[in-house]
Amino acid sequence: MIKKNKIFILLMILFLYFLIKVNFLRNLYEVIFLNHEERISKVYGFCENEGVGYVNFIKNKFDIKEKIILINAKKSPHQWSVYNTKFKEVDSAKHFIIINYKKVKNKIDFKNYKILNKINDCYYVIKND
Amino acid sequence: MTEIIQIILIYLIFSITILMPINIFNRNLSLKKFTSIDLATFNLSINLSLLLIFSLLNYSIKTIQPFLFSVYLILLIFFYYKNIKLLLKTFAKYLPIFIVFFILSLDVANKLYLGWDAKFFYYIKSLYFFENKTLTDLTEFSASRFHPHLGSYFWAFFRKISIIDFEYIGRLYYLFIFSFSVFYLIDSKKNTLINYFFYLLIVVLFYEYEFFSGLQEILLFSILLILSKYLFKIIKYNDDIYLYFLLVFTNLMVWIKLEGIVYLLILSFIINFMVKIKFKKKLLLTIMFVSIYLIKILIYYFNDLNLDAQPSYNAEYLTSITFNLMIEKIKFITVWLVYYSFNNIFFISGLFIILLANFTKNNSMYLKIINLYLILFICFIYSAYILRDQNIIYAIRTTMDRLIMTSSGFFVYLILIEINKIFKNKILKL
Repeated sequence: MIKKNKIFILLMILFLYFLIKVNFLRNLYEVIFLNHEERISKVYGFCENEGVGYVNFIKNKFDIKEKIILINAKKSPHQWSVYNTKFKEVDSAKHFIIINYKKVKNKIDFKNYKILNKINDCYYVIKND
Repeated sequence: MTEIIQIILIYLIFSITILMPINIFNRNLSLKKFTSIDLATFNLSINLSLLLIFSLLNYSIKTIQPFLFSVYLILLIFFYYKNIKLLLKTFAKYLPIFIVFFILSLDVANKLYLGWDAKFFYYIKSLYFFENKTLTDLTEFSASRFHPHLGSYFWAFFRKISIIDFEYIGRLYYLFIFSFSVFYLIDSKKNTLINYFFYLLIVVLFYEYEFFSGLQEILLFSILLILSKYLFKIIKYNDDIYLYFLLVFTNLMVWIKLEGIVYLLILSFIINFMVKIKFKKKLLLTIMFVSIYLIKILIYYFNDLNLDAQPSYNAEYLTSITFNLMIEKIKFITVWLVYYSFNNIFFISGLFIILLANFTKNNSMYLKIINLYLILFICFIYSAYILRDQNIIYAIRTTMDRLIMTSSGFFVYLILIEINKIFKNKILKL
């Protein structure tokens, strides 16, 4: 009986350590009180880093049915957040989302585009016909 | 709160994949010798193989899912309506799986970020399946050819089952397979509290969010956990069923990651040279191992997929490797192999135990199998990096830690066996 109690106590200590290690309470709180979009923005940034928060904001606001290209100075792959299987890779795009324009100025010239949305240094633009 | 309820519901749906098509309480003569959890692993392999078959057909998930769901619901009621009490008892016994799954699910639901390979390959592939496209449509995605598709199919399939459409719900199935396979290792009729302690210890020592960030290695790791116990049982009980299900799981590995072929080779070596079975059966198994690979090549060939899977390996580079270059590469590989081995608790413990057991003249067949596995795996590591046409440091730093992590799955059961010996067989009933 005493041995069983010892094992139980050890198990509980390990369980507590496990909860602390994975930040259980914080995770629980944030999953309950922050919605998915807010958590995405927290992880990927809204208008910084990969800017997936801004991408989702634009996708929800404009309900874009055409191909979108994401322009971002970040080196990690980021097309996944705008990827649409309806379009082929070779298809040209008219819609562009730009995260941190100052860092990617050389990639896009606004003269040829119409700005549909701007928040801080992030833009949603559409190519002129 | 909706997401919390969703996580609980999705766990119940995931559980169906270990409850069917074999009734885990079936006490027919042929199945009597297997424990419920053995049968549950058989179910898992059957269901994952079914999903593999569906992924190869020209039917979208949207078409397949309602059909599968109805069949499984009917089967579930038919099989278990007489065993409700037993089923609830089993759920209670498997409660640690749910607790671990739930706690880690929250971590996945909150951290959310995808690993590099997941963003570049696996997520986009899963998006194709999620948006009701089929294997042939993957040709439209150029990066698709670098990796097999099965893990992405699981991701899309289980994401589509969910009521709320968040990509991470599909990834939780990887977590479910992990939680279940670790539990399979420690499950025995012996002291339950000690079992739960070791279950939690393995999870605590192993868990890192990155492994569940959409990368496929965790699936291979989990399958290797199951296979390491199968091999132990094959030696102990000499039962063919484990051999056949080992084959089924090996087939799945080949469709999940390119490294799957390496594990296929290693396991076929082990079966041929270590396990005492009749020559005819060995021949049959070898033919099956070869067929697994040939079938994959043929299917990918006819779907115009994956033929130049790894451009880093090419004949031009192979012929240009000089002796000096090889020595230089071996130096780098050795240093990093030692470094990454020490970073993985299971790999380094497994290595230490293997060395110790070899020096103490332990002649068990299982140890011999693990020895062979280790030797073949190290050969694979060296040859993979020596023959790779890529900056050696870059290649090692971006992949070796994951290779070590995946392979360490095979050592966990050996570690448990050795700990069991220290505790005088009080943990596992071997």
